Amino acid sequence: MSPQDRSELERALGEGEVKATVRAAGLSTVRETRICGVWWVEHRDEAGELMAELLEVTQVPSILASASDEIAAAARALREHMSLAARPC
Amino acid sequence: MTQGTSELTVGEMLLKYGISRRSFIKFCTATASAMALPPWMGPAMAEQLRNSPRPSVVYLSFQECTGCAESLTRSFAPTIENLIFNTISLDYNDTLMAAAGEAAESARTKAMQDNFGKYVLVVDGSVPTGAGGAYCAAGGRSAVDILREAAKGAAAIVCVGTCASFGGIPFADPNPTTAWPVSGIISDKPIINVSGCPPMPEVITGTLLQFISTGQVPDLDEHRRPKVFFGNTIHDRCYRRPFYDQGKFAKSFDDEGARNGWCLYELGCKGPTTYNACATIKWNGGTSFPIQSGHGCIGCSEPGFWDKGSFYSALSTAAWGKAGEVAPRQVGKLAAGAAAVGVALGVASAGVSRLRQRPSEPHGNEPKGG
Repeated sequence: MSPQDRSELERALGEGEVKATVRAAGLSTVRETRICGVWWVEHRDEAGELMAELLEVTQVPSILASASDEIAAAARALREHMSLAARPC
Repeated sequence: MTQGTSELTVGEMLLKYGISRRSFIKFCTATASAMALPPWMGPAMAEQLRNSPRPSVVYLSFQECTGCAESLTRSFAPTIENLIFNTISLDYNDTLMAAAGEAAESARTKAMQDNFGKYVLVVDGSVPTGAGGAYCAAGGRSAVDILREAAKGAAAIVCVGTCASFGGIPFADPNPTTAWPVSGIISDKPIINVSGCPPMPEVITGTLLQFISTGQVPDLDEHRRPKVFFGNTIHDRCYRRPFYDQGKFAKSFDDEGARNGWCLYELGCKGPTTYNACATIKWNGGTSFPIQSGHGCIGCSEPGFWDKGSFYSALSTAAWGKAGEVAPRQVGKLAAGAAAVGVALGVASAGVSRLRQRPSEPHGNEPKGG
């Protein structure tokens, strides 16, 4: 894609309401475009180099959503932490 | 080295090393993107792998310079490319493993027994067969014996680098050790060639990840290279291509044409006959590639690149063929094809001899069928 095509595409899709950053092995940014459900996703490494750039058509890009197995593990850890904290000294 | 951890799933292993699920999704997404797979494939690969046991990988190094392993382990973004080492259970690699001697050799034997029929065999380097295999031996056994034994239980063999894929530098004239590529020794296993001197880290990682997440050998070209990475010539994707089309060529390395970034064809660039991903993925984290730094492509991912004339002479049609012509590739196919169907290796060796176009081939030392 030429730089002109790229800026044309960026202009056409525009900026939406949501922007999020993810810090995991470098910075990733997730922006919803003006077209609802079309997300512009950029993955950078720890040196800030672009590793992948994607347009995802989805409710929420998968890099943002929490995974159910991790939620279950976190709930167990939280209960354990709370019961320890509630125990009298 | 990961002895005792091969029973963990990929997800458990990542957790153990404090690597988040999102980091892993990112790694798979970047890999899928380099392979031009659809965007949903990255996260899907990540989820599938996270819940699977880590596949056992046995990595054998024969006649090689360790440049291929350097390419993989010292890539520009180590936290990302090195995630492959948490995704696989690297049960044997004599350069990277802490164990040595008997302990190292028994780790290999154990991994091969425990995972018989399932492990991925990575081979780096060509296999010398002269002098009864004495030119390359480990633990008192020749490379050719070790390869044949390791190949028996392998699900597939991934040849990393031009030496394992096509013989490379050791195979070059006069081939003093009677070196062979893996495909000249093993004829009954799927072989994936990831050529290059060295291959690009993204290409090694991508090929391994694709195989272990799907269990399928990817689409290969006639030299058994994954088409996703080796489907185009360097010339097809070169940013200097418009100058070639306009007939603007650098005539020496310091003339006006070179300073203007014109095409390096007349300075010996082998881009038109070389299939690789350097011009698109680029090296050192996408920084540059040889042509961008002012030097022609030397064709290092092609069979016999070392014996096809000077790196600084314009492409010789006798040795390389013209862009778009298939003659030299067909000769290569004859050798590879003969090995693939298990035809007597005398036929394969005749094919390779013709490919190399020289009068004196060492005779009497051809490897026996694997």
